[in-house]
Amino acid sequence: MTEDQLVIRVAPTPRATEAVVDAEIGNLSDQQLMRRVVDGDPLALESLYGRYASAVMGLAFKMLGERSLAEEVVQETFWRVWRNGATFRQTQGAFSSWLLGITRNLCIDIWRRRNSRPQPVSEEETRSGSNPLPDPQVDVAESAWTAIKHRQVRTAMDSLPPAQRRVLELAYFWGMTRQEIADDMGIPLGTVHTRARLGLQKLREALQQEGFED
Amino acid sequence: MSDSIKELLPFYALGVLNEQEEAAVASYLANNPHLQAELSETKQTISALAYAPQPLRPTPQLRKKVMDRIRADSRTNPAASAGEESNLSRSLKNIWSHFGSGAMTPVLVGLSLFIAVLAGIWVYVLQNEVSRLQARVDMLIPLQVELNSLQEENQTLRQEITTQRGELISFVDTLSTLDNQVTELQTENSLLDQELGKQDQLLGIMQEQLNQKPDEESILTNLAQELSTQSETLAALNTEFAQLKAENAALRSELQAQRTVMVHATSPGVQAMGLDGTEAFPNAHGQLIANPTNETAALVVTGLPPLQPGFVYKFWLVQNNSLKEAGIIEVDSEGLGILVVTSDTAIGLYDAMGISIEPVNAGQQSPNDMIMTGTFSS
Repeated sequence: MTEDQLVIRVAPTPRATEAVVDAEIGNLSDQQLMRRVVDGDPLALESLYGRYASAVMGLAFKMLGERSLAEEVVQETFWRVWRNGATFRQTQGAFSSWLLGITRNLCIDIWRRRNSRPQPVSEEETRSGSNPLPDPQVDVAESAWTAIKHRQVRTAMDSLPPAQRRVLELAYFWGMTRQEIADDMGIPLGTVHTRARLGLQKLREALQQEGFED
Repeated sequence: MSDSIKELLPFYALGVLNEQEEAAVASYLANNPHLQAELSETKQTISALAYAPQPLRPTPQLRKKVMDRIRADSRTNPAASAGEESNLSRSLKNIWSHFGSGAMTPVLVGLSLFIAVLAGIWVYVLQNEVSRLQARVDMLIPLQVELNSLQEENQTLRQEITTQRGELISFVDTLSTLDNQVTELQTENSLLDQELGKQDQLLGIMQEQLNQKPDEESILTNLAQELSTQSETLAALNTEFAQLKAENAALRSELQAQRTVMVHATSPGVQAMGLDGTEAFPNAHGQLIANPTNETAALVVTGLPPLQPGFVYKFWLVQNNSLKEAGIIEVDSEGLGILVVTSDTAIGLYDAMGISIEPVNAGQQSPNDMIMTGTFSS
């Protein structure tokens, strides 16, 4: 290598910056990354993307049933994080809850625009729809952590009585109103309230038992 | 009210209430910190539901799309671009200010340069490594795409194999069923063969019997012929018998006539009066044998030829020139005829006698010329 080349190489390039800064960013918390996002740091957002893209994609695909639509939602979710990062406040709860809340609302908006809800997507269909070519830049550690959270929540959900679980799923994943849930399940409105309340109570206890932390 | 609001709380947290309901809950929450805490807890629980679906890794292309958009936006926003270099320069500034200035400055400058050189080399190495890895990833991407395609094709083939396996099983079942049916048909066929064999035997027997029938028929035919022949023979015999019987009767009649002649010829006082043929019958002769006092006599003639059918020889007795038919004479083939004459008076009272040829149904008409005559001598 010549001295000129060395001088040129010393000036930081975007890739070089990534290489140097990635390690540093990887250790920042979600809140710290969000502060950087608010400052206009794309790398910070990319780091958050690496951490939560799979969870966002999984939720969107579950609710919409179409991979292309789910990718649009992923794109729009992180765009909103980028543009509206300043609106996130830690007091609102964990960043992941805020992020996945954006995803859920985008999905519900899409239904309302289309005036229809998609067919439910099972776990098997989700696995079959998964991309076998993983994004190599996904944060492996965070992906593993997301997988753990998924397992904890799934175990907690499976521990619920089916009727209570169904009420929560219809409300959360399909945005059904109380009356719509009552009509779908063929039960009185009061029973819907009871099942929702008891279901959430049991879910909270089960999540605690699983050691779930958001 | 609080109970109904409490019931709506989970759905408020889920965001599935209508505007009116949402406003009512929000209004109540504003003055109810306890319920706010409960809501917060509920929201925290609900937010966990987002992790219930299976995580799904997006494609690298999606990441690029997202980041391209973000970076494009950050370039239009100066704060974004500055933010990229400010991190490194900020770090360097921190280091610089930390290690101070003054006497240490040349050392620090030299050290900084040394570190910068090292950093540059390190960056260069890292950059090459990143480029190399990027090139590898770029090489792997099409292979992975192809792998995806092959896996999909594999899945399709597996499904096809499963389908064909099912069809094969069904086909084998069908073959097994057909096999059983063939076995049944073969058994049935064997029974039919046996039955046909029996019937063939029966037919053979019947054919043999049929073949024997002509002999019986020929026997019957022969018998019939023989019967016919015998019938003909019997008829002939009957005819002959009738002829013999007639001949016997004639012979008896002739014998009787001869006996009568003998009786008359041997009775006492009998006389014989002769008849002679005329010039037409010169060989004809006859004798009337009788006792002139009796009323019967026997006439014997010879030399009279048999007559044609429809004519007869008649015997006449003459008394005082009055003719009286006294009988018909039948002659045999030798011209011999015998007649037993019966009169209502004594034979001796007649004057003459004669024989004429008359038609069979001559009736009472005058006789034809006499062909034989004779007188009674006194």
